[in-house]
Amino acid sequence: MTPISANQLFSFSRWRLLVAKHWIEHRRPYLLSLLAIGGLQAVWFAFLIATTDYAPLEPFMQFASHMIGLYLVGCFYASMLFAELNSKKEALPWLSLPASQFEKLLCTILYSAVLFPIAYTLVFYLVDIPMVQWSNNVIYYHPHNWPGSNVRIMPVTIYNLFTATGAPIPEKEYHLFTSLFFTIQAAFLLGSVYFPRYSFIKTVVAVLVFILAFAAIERGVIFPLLPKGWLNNFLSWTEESYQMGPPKNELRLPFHLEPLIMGLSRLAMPLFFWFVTYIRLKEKEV
Amino acid sequence: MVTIRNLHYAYRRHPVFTGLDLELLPGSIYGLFGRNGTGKSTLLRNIAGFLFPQQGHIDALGFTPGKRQPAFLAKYFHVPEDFQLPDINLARWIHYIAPFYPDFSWQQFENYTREFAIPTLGNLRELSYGQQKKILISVALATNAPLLLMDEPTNGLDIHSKSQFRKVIAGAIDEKKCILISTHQVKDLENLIDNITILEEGRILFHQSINRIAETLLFKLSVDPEETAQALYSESSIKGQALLLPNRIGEDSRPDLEMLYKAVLTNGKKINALFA
Repeated sequence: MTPISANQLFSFSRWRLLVAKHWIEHRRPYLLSLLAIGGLQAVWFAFLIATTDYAPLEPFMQFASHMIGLYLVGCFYASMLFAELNSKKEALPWLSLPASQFEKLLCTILYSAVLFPIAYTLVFYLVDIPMVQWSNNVIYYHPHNWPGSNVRIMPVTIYNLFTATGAPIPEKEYHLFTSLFFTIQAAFLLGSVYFPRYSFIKTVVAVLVFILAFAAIERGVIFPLLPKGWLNNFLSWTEESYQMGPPKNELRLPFHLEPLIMGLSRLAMPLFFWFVTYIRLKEKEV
Repeated sequence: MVTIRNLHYAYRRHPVFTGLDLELLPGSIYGLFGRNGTGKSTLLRNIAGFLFPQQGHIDALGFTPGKRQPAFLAKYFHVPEDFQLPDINLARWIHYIAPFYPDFSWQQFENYTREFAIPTLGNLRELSYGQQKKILISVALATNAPLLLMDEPTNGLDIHSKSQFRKVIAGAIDEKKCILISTHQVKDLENLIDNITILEEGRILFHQSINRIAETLLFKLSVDPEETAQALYSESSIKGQALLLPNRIGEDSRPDLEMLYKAVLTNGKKINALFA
């Protein structure tokens, strides 16, 4: 068995050609999709402003809208990226294009995990900024108080992705939802290679089954091993929860293990799914 | 150029090849014939690396196709029977596809599109299936890939385009190239191929050059019942009986591929024995 030379695995010039070819063949649906995303978001925000009396676009709502859209559209997009492999007439030219499977995967990752979140977020802010402005204008011209109080409703701020002010604690402290997006999206990318048909739906089912199995193992195996009276504080483990009611005993992972697990959830899981996708691509027969 | 040894391939429980051996040499155009479902496309896809042999080995241009190394992918072009071109215009598509093939010739591509009278403006998806096929054939030839694999390339081509196809392919072959054309439309490749390979039930039933066929077999029309009785294969025609006979005295005749194909399917053992 002759080893594959480095150039046969990755060549930047070949990869650049792939990226350019992908763009030229898909730019029309991509640009139309971005327009549609912006349009739907504008309609959603307009609906909120029209139907909610009290600060409809507060940062949490902006965060939630951004995340839900990111997950839904990002995963749907990822589940379509290798869809051409499931149709023989598209798969044969794709497989025979002179580039390595690694380069083809990297091109797909560039579009799904780098360019898509950037483009999506740009569109989000293009809609979000004027809509928040509009929402604040409504508050400015029709000032009123929070219900049952004398507290005036104040103008809201634009949600900041980096500080995540107004988002739930796991996002604010660790950017957990943003990190998890890359893992979930990588799972959908794998699903698009793994499932020949209905890959989005099948991957949704597979992810749900995995979450249910994980929860069952947690309940059935891990919880009985923990001390009596133990409380699962997974989503509110920061000091803020202590202010509400400090725990009697705190059970924490070893000091170095916590950042390691957080790091793993951010980096290793997407890398794992991408690696399995690469193996599946190499094994793919058409 | 392509060496296949002991190839085994099966779709789930349905075996297609059980120990197939084949050698393809440069400078030749091979016609791969066989009934529907005998494994013509499967053989092409094994050579191209789309399918992996379950046993045995394929060497194509010094590569193992299943590894799908870019250096190998740049040296062959596969024209599938069914395909889909991207939703862009021709010039743009070629601009982005050509750099992947180091020997791609723009000049040749222009010549082929002219030869096939392909409209170069407009979106590729708006063209008819036959026009799209001619584009793909033109790209395949312009890549100057040493190995060309074509699966039913004449399907969807009109009569004039079929004759253009034969002309273009005949002009493209040289001593460094090998073209393997799989088809069940035997007549379409008449006067084009120089080797004929017939697949039947997953094995090579017949694999000979046209020259050897012309030396060994005699294709003639006859009304002589005695001659008809000696024929390896015969069929009625308006002008008498079309016969396939052993060429014992080195007579000249033009091989009728369709007749040979039918003869090999019905009387393969006897015909192969003459080539032994």
